[in-house]
Formats: sequence, structure tokens, C-alpha cells
Amino acid sequence: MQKLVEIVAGVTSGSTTATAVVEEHLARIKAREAEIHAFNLVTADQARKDAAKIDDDVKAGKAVGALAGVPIALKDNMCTRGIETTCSSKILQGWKPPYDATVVTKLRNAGAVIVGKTNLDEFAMGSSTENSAFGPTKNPLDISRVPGGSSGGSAAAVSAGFAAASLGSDTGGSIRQPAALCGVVGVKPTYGTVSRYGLVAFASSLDQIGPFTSDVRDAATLLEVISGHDPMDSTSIPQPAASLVSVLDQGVKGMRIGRVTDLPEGCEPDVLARLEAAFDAMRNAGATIVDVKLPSLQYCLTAYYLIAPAEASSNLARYDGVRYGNRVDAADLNAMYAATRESGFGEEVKRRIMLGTYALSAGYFDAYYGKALKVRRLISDDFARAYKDVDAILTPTSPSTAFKFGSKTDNPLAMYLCDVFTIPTNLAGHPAMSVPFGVGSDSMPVGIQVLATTMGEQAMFKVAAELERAS
Amino acid sequence: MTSQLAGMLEHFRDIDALDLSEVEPMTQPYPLKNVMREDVEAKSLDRQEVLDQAPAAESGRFRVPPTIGFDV
Repeated sequence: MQKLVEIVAGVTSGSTTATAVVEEHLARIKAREAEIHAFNLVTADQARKDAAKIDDDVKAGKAVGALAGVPIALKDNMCTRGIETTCSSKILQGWKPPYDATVVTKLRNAGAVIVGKTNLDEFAMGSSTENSAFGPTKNPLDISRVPGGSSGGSAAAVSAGFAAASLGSDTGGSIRQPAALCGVVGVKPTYGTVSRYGLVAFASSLDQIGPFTSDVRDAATLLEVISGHDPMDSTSIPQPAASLVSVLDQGVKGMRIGRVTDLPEGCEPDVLARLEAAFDAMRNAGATIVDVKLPSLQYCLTAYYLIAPAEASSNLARYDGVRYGNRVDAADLNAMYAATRESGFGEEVKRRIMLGTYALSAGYFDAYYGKALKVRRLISDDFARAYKDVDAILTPTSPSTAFKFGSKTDNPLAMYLCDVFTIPTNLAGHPAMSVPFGVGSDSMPVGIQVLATTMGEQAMFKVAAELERAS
Repeated sequence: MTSQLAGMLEHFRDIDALDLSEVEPMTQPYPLKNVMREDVEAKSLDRQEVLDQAPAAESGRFRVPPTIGFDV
């Protein structure tokens, strides 16, 4: 895997060209994409044109951006003007957005070259890409296993060397879990750090865009570019982007790292062994390990699987066959709505719309959605208490390494349990990232999750960089 | 799917064990309020580009099946 920062250095100094870099990545896509299916769409022609433009600028001595010539893949739920954006759903198949997401504009302005749109679980609902209407993505490290999800295509694209970096979205772990399963770095920033304008909404109070890269420095570099206030997103935090690359070499000496003593059960022993090794590495680097209790964590799955479907049931009401996407014609408007949704949505999306609608309905609102919002507060308060004593917390990213296709598809609850360590940060709105840290008993990668408090990205990246040095 | 949904709702009863009477609901992670922009003209989406992506459009508008009076 070619590092993002090396590509930028090579292209800007003239020791390589954006065209050469893009051709290398397109050649890898050509060689393995049929087997992996990381992409819904490869935009090879446009990528070549964009690369040539950067090379012309370099030759002409013009300033090029912080991501000059870097091939980047985008999860197919980010709007790209005139380029098909499907959310891996039949209901949006063929739709070409009339505008670019803010992250897309920022990437282009920084000189990144977009190589394609990556596969996901339909509307980002899932943990394996098995819910994609266009077929699953395979894990590049073992194609009998899932890449994780929902941003499985974005994780696989980086893992397979199809792109130097990619963007995903994370509502309950959809960046961190596939990053762990594919052996790459994945970051969910603080809610409001990266603009959601042009990200197709799933659960608006939880969704956040973030990067996949092959190492921590690349992740910091890319996150600096896509962060920052955006007036087009009313939930965007009105503060400038934090400096992250500058803290990577500072080490963790004197930092207090939290160990959760009441971690939810169900984690595989080989994954827990890697977590212990991570604590040892932190201790060896001069950090202090502090026990913390998060008693409400055991309720996070319930809170999440009521809140996220409730928000989704409202957000997905826009797919009515009127303004965009596909329509199934019928005699009157209501019959058209029903026929369009029956044909356009997959099983998991329907399941969550029904669950969310039920949780919000009169008579059940207080028992389900109302209670879930209160549990969300408890979880947030637990974290607030813990972060008085620690600067960051380490947990596994996922309870297991990459699992085999079909092993969880019959039992939605078993699939939902994949997110048990990643969900709490979305509920709290905090940042968290997954860093590859060795392998499990099946030789598949294990990801360690670094959590920090709101706007705690600098502490999180210091710890992540130290973990990477120790791995 | 009905039995799967019933199973999930059963699982979700675990929060019934909590006393939440004194807890404030949390609807969003970052307490921003009344985010307004300056009242100045800004560029909007190109109408034709938007309508080109609609399943059916006519005379600069979205076209839909009959909405009322179908049974009359």
C-alpha cells in the first residue's frame, strides 16, 4: 500500500506524476476488483483527466493542494455532481446528484483524484456489506470473509491498494468496524467536525464522515483537509479544524489511558489478548492505565437500535418516487408510494423503517424512543465522568475478527452485536478510531479502538500513533 | 420478519430495569441552537438538472399520479 503522504511528496516534488500514481491504482483495480467488488462505480476516465490537470499544474509551477494526486475512493452515499450515487439501493440506482457534498468539494480543491464510489450496506444499514442491493464486498485479506460494514467497500479499497485513502460514514461503527476487519486505520471524528452536507442521511444525530487510510499519519493528514465549519450543515461545529499531524510524534508519556472494567461480554479471547497487549504498549511508552466504569454501556445497543431506526424512518420518507430515484407506477399517489418502496428498499432497510416507525408511534413513543433518549444521556454522563480521570480509553473495535459470509445474516441481533464497542461513541458524539494491532488466532487483523472526549482528536491521535509504533 | 421484530422488541425491554424518571432526554450530541445564516441571496440548484433526475417531470414541475378524487 502506497502512503498518502508519500504520494503528495512525490507529485509535488516532481519525482513522480499524478498520472503514474493513478494508473498504478487503476491497474490494481483492474486486476482484483472483479473478485473483491469494492466499488459500485470506478470513475477511471475522470480520474485520468483530473490527474493530468494536476500534472499540468505542477509543470507550470502552480500551487497544488495538500492531497495532490492522491487517489481517493468515496462511499457511495456521498453526493457527487453528475456521477451516480446509489447508497447501494435499488431505489436510488441511476440517480446523479445535482450537487457535490462538501467533503467532495474539499477533496477536489486539495488536488485529490476520485477513483470511484464504494459499495456499502444499503443506506449504511449493516455490518458486513451483505445488505448491499448490488452484492457484497469481499475482504481482500480472505475473500471468504466479510470486510465489515457498512463502509466495507471503502475499507476494502484501501486494504487492496485500489485507493491510497477513502471516505466512509459512521453511524454506529460503520468506519471503525470495517477498518478493523480489513486491517486499515479508520476514524470517526467528533460529531460536527466534518460537514454532512451531501452525505445521504441515515440517522442525523449520529452520522459522521471520516477517513480510511493505511496508517495513522495519512488519517491525520486527510482528516485535517476534510474538517472545519460548513454553513451548509447546521450541526457543523463553528470552530476551525484541529491540528493533528503536529501531535503524532509527541508520545503518550504522562497520559492517562482508561481501561473499561465493565466492558460488555461476548468478545473473543484472541481479541481481548490484543487489547491487553495494547495496554502493555501504552504502559511501556510511559502512560498510566486507569480503570474506568461505564455502567450504562450494557444498554447502548438498545438505545442505538431504537434511536437510529427512529431517525432513519423519518429520513428515508423522502424516497417516495417523486423527486429523485426510481418509481413504480400505480393508479394513485399512495399506491405509487407503496409500490415504489416495496420494490426499492431491501429487507434490512424495511426492518429498520418499521422498527423506527413503531418506536415513534403514539402509545409506544414513551416506552421506546423516549426511554432510549434518556439512556443516551446516561451513556454520555458515564463518559463525562470517565474523562475526568483519563485522556483516552482503549477497547476492542469489534468483538471478533472478520467473520465468514452468511454466518450472521439469519439473525439480525447477532449482526447488531458487532457494533457493541463502537456504538457508545456515536451516542455521545465523541471521536474514536480503529488502529490495526496484530492478528487474531485466525491470522486476520485485530483493531484496537481509541476513544476520546468531544474535540479530543489530538489526544486520540497521540495514542493511535503510539499504538502503531508498538504494533 | 414479524418474529424477528418481536424478538428485537423483547431484547429492548432491558432498559425497563432502569429508573429514568429524573433523566433529561438527549436528542443531539452538540448543543447548537438556532443556527441562522445572513439573509442574502445565494445560488440554488439548477432547476433543469434537478428535474432531469426525477422519475417524471413536466413543464418545470415534478409529475405525480392523481392525488385526490380518484374514486369519484
